[in-house]
Amino acid sequence: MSGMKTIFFGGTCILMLITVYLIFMWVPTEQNLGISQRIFYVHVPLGWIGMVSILVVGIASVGHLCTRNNTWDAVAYSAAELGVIFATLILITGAVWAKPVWGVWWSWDPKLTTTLILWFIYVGYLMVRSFSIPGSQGRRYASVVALLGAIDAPIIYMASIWWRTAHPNLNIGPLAEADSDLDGKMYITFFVSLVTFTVFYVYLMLERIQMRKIEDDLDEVHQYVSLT
Amino acid sequence: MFRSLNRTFRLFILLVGVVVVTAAFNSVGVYAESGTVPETQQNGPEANLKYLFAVFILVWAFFFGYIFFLSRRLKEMKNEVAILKKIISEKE
Repeated sequence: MSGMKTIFFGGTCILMLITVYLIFMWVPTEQNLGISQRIFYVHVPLGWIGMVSILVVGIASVGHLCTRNNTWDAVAYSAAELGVIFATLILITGAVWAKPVWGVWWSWDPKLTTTLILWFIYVGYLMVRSFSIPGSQGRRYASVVALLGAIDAPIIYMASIWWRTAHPNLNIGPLAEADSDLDGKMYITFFVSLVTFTVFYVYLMLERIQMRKIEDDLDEVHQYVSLT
Repeated sequence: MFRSLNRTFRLFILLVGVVVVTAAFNSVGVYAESGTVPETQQNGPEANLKYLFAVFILVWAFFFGYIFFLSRRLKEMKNEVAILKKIISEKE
């Protein structure tokens, strides 16, 4: 586990430097949106991870409900905690990008609204976890919340197809259009950035899962000490 | 392990910051081949650069804050282990 973490941490450092170089010095500026379009190379990978994270929470929650194995629960909790950070960053970076492009910080666009719902689902999951007593049914209740939340991920992804939205066509995932309007260099930069943030996410997950397991062990020792 | 990584992470963020600032002074003059926008129309190639910087600063502030939160939690857990060890040794 420690070796894996070192590999992912090293990979993140190298890839992040390459990504920053590509975004600021290599990629051409989009002709209509100008410099602010470069926010895209950060905003979309964050959005991608925000959606992937809720799916991880959902899958791990199913694993926990079926097996009662605490490792699944540690994975779900860690993914939810990271998910709330990434979801917050999606909303913030989106607002910062919307201001120069749309002229407003926020609009009730379907993609924005469903992403805000995702943020509330993450927060709801963590609130259920934090308000439940250790050893109680809280973990299972939270798993149910996560399962309901996982439904939101495909809705966010499909929002630009199902509803009229100011967001562009899909550039990532199974339904991404082959004839994307991205320039070749733009596509490379976007892809490198996507890999970078994904590697960073995996590193943070490994770190957080390990910590979560220690927290669980400590809770058990606390209970044991208080009983004896 | 985590403490040393945390220090490395701080250095890494500093390095990213240096690259971003350096790049900002040397870049963003290149436009896509498919059509160049006159500078007057864009108010110069650096128009809206502040928004790009704001995004980078916010993203890294959040990640740094999260790493800080994790390192504090780790410190708390170490204290808890020390207290528990003391309680157990007293009981024995």
